[in-house]
Amino acid sequence: MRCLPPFLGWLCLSLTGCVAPAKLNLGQAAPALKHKPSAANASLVHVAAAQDCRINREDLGNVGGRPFSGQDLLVWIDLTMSQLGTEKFRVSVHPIPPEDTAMRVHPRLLKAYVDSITTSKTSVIVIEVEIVCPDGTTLMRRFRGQDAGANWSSGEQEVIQSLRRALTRCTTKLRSEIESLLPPQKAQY
Amino acid sequence: MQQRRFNARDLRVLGFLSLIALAGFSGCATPNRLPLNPAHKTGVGTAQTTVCLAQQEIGTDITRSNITAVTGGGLLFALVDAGIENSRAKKAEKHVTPVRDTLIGYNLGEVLNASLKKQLATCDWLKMGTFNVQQVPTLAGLESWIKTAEGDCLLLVDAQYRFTPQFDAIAVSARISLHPRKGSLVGAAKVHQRLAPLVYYNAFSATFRMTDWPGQALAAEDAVKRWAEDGGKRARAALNLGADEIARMLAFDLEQPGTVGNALYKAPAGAPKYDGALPLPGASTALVVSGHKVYEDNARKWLRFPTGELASIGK
Repeated sequence: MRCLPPFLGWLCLSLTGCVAPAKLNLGQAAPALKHKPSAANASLVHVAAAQDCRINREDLGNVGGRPFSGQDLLVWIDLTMSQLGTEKFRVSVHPIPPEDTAMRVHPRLLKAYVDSITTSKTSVIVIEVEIVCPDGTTLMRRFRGQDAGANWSSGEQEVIQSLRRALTRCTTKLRSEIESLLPPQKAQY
Repeated sequence: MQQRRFNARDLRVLGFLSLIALAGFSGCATPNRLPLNPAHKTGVGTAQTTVCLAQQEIGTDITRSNITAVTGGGLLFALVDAGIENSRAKKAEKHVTPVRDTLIGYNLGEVLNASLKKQLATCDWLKMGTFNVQQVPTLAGLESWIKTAEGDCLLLVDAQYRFTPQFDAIAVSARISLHPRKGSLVGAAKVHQRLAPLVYYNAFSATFRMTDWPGQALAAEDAVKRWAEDGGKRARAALNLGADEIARMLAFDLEQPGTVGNALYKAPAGAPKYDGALPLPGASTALVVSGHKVYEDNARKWLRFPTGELASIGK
């Protein structure tokens, strides 16, 4: 019985934490994109720093009535973009594109939010990309990553994990697009 | 002696709980709608309109699983319900992608503002000032918006838009409130629905079915494909109509009186009842409730729910 009041106090504090506005620090939580090391003769793709084109750059939506805002969102996107490379292409994020750049990529963040559907939550990331191909043509492509799952406690960590999965899905599609637009690699003997 | 004291405390707790229950039930028996007092119209003056959107894109809805209710309750069944709802939510979010892609630049807030400007021009006592859109997750900034608003009051439109669970229709809903910031109405304003002092409040919903929806039911993927065709032409049309309908209902509702003694709104004797979507504050799904008809034209019927909200449904 003596343990009951402290336990109830702890429970109340925990539940209050679950509805209090949360500011997510995403800069430290970039998803690790898996790939084989780039080949020595892999094409070089320059990825420019992402631009934020959202109406409200702080707002990340809400889950279960708990509002989320984000800081370092562009750092998070840029860090993820820097890991885009595959065995077919290398990535440079240097402010000035190197001379041997085969393709230039300019990402723009259009949407980044979380939302609730009854007892579930959803995360969405939409990035529009301007791609300057090796032949000089410019293409505009839009990539969407989405993740839906159960909302356990509207907690910060579960929302961050969900946003990471959404960004991973978004960038995986971008990676495939870049690979398809690059000329085939010459075999090395 | 010890035993008697314990019983007395029990009785006090029981009495306290009964009071809470009574207060809760009495809260359910009053309307959510707060009508605009006709005597206050002259004091409204110029209104700044602010449309708030918590959503960045069109939302989805699911049919809630009710195994727990059918089986009479239990934690196990509640977990089963949560699992089913999670599966439905995942599918709905996957299906909706093509429409979201076509509506990427669509701003319901701007469309709502244009509709409000047009429809509220009929209220000669209300001067429409500036219009703006806020993309915010909550209304936490409401008090500062009221302070910094241009004109005499702030007309706040807290809007939502989402597909119905079958993807056969789009529902636009809004909670609308009028907050005086200076002049004679400030003293008459009161806190209602946990919002800053206001002189008018009501909630509205307008559900628009796809105009050329085929006779038979469509699978969610096929329905979404149709909504997304031609740059989302059908979805844009339904959203535009929904926004216009909300503005039309508001113009109508601002002129309607409340009930005598703050009683619930009742249908005239023998009048039929219809089901409509009742938007709930902050909820991700709407509640289907029966209401009575207060207006109809060639295409639409407006229902008034017992708690005062208005819903527009197709005929």
